[in-house]
Formats: sequence, structure tokens, C-alpha cells
Amino acid sequence: MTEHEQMQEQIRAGLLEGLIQTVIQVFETMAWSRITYQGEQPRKHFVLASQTCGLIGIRGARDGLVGVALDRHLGLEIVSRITGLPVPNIELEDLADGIAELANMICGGMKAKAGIHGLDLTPPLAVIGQDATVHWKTAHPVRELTFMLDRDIIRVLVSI
Amino acid sequence: MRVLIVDDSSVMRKIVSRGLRQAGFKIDEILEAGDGQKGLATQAQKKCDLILSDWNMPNMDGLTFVKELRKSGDKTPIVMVTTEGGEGKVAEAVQSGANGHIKKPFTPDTLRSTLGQFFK
Repeated sequence: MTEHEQMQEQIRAGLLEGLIQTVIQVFETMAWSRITYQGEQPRKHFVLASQTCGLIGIRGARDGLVGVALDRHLGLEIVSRITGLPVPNIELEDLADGIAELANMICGGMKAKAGIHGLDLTPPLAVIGQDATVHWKTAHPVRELTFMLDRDIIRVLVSI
Repeated sequence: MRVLIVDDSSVMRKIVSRGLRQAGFKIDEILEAGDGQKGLATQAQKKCDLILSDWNMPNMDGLTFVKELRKSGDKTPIVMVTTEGGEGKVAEAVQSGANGHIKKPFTPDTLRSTLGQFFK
């Protein structure tokens, strides 16, 4: 492994560790939800197939992509918890804005925890839909990190 | 006490607004603006006592908002609320006239300890 490759591997490992910690922290702090990390699995493609997804690109010292995917009912519940709005009062715009903000906080926290300079985050993108599938080409292998909130699954796809 | 929240995310404005109330601050009115330009216009009209501003916003970002407000002679305390925790950016904001920085995610306790000095 060259020196450059070693450095890239350090950045990747730091971001991944920061990401796992931040996902748990963001859900606990902002949504009073205790979630548990279940582990990771390699994925062939970066496919966000849930009904509620937030996506952020990473540019600079390391290029990459992070996506957070939840079922719609969980997305509504989380947005309800972080805003204090009752679920029936949450409009589509609130749901999209909330899931984008969730992805934003997670990636911002990941970046801060990893302490890597020269990383830029793209503005968050929210995808809400019954049958939406977001398929993104990536430069690095894709991993799916799984978290559980009670019986619900939160999937975080990452390619860094 | 009147507080202005400047953020392009309506959900984030609700989160900050809720956090301020949960922190127990005595607030008469919370006003909201969706970007720096609207923040300047709201502040010119309503003269708030404390401003909480996001960093990345369309039309006018948080840093430009701070600079413009200070250029106009307004000395209202401004606290940046952002995911970007980079020391350089915080230093730049403070140099431009911001009075503090809160990193998301935050708890009511964080708000209390960071903003308590501005609520007297």
C-alpha cells in the first residue's frame, strides 16, 4: 500500500467510525430515539429503495456519498419528534425538509468527528415516494450500515 | 425578549424554536426568516434582541448576513447554528462579528449553556 493509499484508508476509516457514532447521536439528541447499530454489509450498488431518503455528497480530501433511508411511517415519526409537530400535521414539505436536515446533521457530525480538513458536503437531497429508487454511481465500494429503532430499520448507505 | 431565527430549512427553524422553549428561556416572540436577505429585512423592521443564524443558505449565506448586519451598525448578538464545526469557519464568523456558535445536533442543555448569557 502506498503512502497515499494509507492516508486515504485512514480518512475512510475515520469517516465511517464518525458516521456510526453520529447516526446514534443525532437520533438520540434530536429525536429522543435510542437506536442500536446492527452491523454493515457490502452492497453492489448504491440503491436507496425506501420511501423516505436523504442523500449527501462528499467532495475534497475524499469523494463519497451518504444516504439515509427510512420507511415513511418512521420518517414521519422522527420528523414529528424533532419538530414537536403531531404526525397528522406534518406536510410533505416538512417530511422532505426534515429528512434532508437529518442527513445534513449526520454528515456534518461525521465530518466534525472524523476531524478531516478539506471535505465539503453538498446540500442535502430528499427523495420521498412510494416507489422511488435512487441509484447512484459511486467511485468506492458501497456498504449498508443497519440501525434498529424498536422494530424499525434505518439503513445508511455509504460509499467513501 | 425577541429572537430571530434565520434558516432556509423550515424544519430546522421549528427545531431551534422548540429547543429555545424547552431550554426554559423567557421569550416574548420568535420570528423566522428563510435566508440572510430576509433576515436583514426582518431585523430592520422588528429589531430582535438575539439572532440565531444558519450558515449555508440560498440568496445570502450566514456569514454574509453577519457581515452585512454589522456593516449597518447593528450590534445584536448573533449565534451561528450549523453542522459545520470547523475551527476556521467559526473563527471567520467571530471575526466578522458573530458572538458564538452552536453545533447541530444540540440539546436544550447546549442551548441553555451557550445562549444563557444573552438572556438577562
